[in-house]
Amino acid sequence: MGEYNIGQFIYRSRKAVGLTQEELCRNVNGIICCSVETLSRIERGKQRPNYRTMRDIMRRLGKENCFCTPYLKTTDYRVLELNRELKRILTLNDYNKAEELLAELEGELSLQYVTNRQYLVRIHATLDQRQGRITVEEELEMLERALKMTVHSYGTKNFSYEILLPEEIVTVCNIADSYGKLGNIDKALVLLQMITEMLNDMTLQINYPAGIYEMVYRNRIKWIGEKGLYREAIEECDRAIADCLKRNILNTLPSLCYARAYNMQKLREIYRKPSEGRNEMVDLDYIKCALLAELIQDEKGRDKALSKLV
Amino acid sequence: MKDEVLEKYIRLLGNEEEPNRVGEMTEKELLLGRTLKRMREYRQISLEDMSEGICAPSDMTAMENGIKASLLMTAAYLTRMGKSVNKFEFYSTNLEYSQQCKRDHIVEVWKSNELEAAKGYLAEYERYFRSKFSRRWGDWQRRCIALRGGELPGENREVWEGLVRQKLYFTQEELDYLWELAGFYERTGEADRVHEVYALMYQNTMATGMFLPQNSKGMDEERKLEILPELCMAYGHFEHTHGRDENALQVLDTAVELLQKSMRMKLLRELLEERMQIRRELWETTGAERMYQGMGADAQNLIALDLVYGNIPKVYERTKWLREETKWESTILDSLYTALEKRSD
Repeated sequence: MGEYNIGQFIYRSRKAVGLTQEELCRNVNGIICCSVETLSRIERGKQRPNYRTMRDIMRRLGKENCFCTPYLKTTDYRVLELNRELKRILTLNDYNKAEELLAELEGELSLQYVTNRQYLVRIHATLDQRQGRITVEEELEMLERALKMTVHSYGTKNFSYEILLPEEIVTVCNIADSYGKLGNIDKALVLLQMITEMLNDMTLQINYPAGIYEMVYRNRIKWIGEKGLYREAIEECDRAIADCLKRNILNTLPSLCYARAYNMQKLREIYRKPSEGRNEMVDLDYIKCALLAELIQDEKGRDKALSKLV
Repeated sequence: MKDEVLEKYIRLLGNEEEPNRVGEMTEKELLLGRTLKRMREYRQISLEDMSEGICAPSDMTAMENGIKASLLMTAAYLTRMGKSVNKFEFYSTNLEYSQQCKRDHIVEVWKSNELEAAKGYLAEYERYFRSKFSRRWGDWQRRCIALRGGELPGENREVWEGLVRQKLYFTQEELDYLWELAGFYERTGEADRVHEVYALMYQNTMATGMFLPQNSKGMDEERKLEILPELCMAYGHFEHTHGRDENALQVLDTAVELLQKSMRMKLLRELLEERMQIRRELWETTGAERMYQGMGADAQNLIALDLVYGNIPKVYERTKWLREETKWESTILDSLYTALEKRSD
């Protein structure tokens, strides 16, 4: 579940689009949605807006969320369950099965809603790139355009004010991944650092769904390692693994163990004497990955880890 | 990019020339209330049945029509339908956040056996939050506190009969009550009553034919994750200690499969230990091949978890036992054993 403090959400979203309280309360036609005093109380968490005020404020901020809502706009609960299943299949890198599920999901989602379209663009771009139908550059372009559909401050200096919803965080991670693949690792790390700071900001009083933190960790580790900062990557792996154990999350553990082993191996290659053979600590991490992958029934992950032991 | 791929993105991205930074949006919001109302009406559940034990029907109507929205009431509504809150984004005020924190604190305090303190916090909570919704929640807490203190609430019979008759899924407060009831009967040595309580909780959580038998998938996976690991651990262990091993295995299987599929670890190690123990006993007494295979798989999964928790002595002990005593064959374990031997050298 994503749980957001309404006042913080409105305040940060207002800052992100660069509006004063007066400008938010009164639109270009001079229509007032609420008084500045009311908005101030709402932003400070002292007052809950009624439905109409909330709707008007959200519209003026370019957001379409109101009170409590699923990100995907549907009255069919089954669609939300399909979405969950699709996420699980993508974790297992089963792209063919993911495409089947996406087709089924797409048939159920109305394109009238911007968040539905945004979601579909993101998933399509990811799958199209993995299946070789588009290049990484094209994937990046689509992802950034998708993000801007709901996060209008993306690419501006006000982007750091935004409180991102989980789907938006996933999109940013995908964008960072694309930048990394194109060689712009610094840009990838800047984006991921921004997300990490938002997730760790306790003053926002936000509860993010399980797995979000671990996903961001995993992405950061990948690109820190690619930059050659192996020690730092190993430290991040240890932090991420400890976090997974604390939150009882299993799905990212195999890949974190793999990342740890990989970075350890790279570090050893720098300092190792030619006479030294394989290192059992590195092997243990790969074995850990294989065993954990088997536990979550990820055969590909298991085989990939085992191949490193040969 | 091929033309058909490009066309797909053009269709999905829509008209980006439309002003969408600030201004009047044309998209319609979809309120949670409408989704829930549709689910309820499709299943022909009345407002009275849905609101029973949670709040007044008028509160529920207000929520369904988007007039009122409260995280706590929505969560209760969703759990009654066997759904998880995890698919939704909630926007709460400081007051709602504070109410939720106070509730969590009260539950934490009585679960820590500080019963007098819990009563005090509850009284303070009820002075501040006076709705029917809050009073009902308070009633459930008082019953739990009484059971924890070794006292069967006077209205237990009516409450129990109500829960047995419940056509919908239990709310968290009702489940907490049943947990405390099971604990109470365990302390008084009434094994049959304990079994009844666990069985009721399990059947309610696993039920699929609650609303429309021909079209019901049952409780959400996320909601099951909140209930089953702990329940199956307690129920499975209870059945095992009372000699009902087949039932114990079935119950434990439910939780382990759920955790594996959803890739969560809550109580996974304890469940695997319990299940492995039962399978080992059955293999040793009956020689059944499926028990041997199951036992080996469980032991290997436990090794994975012990490794990740850094419990290397246990990993070594289990690996040695699997290879040498049970003759379990596995490439991964062979590699692990070699790595461990090298490490100890």
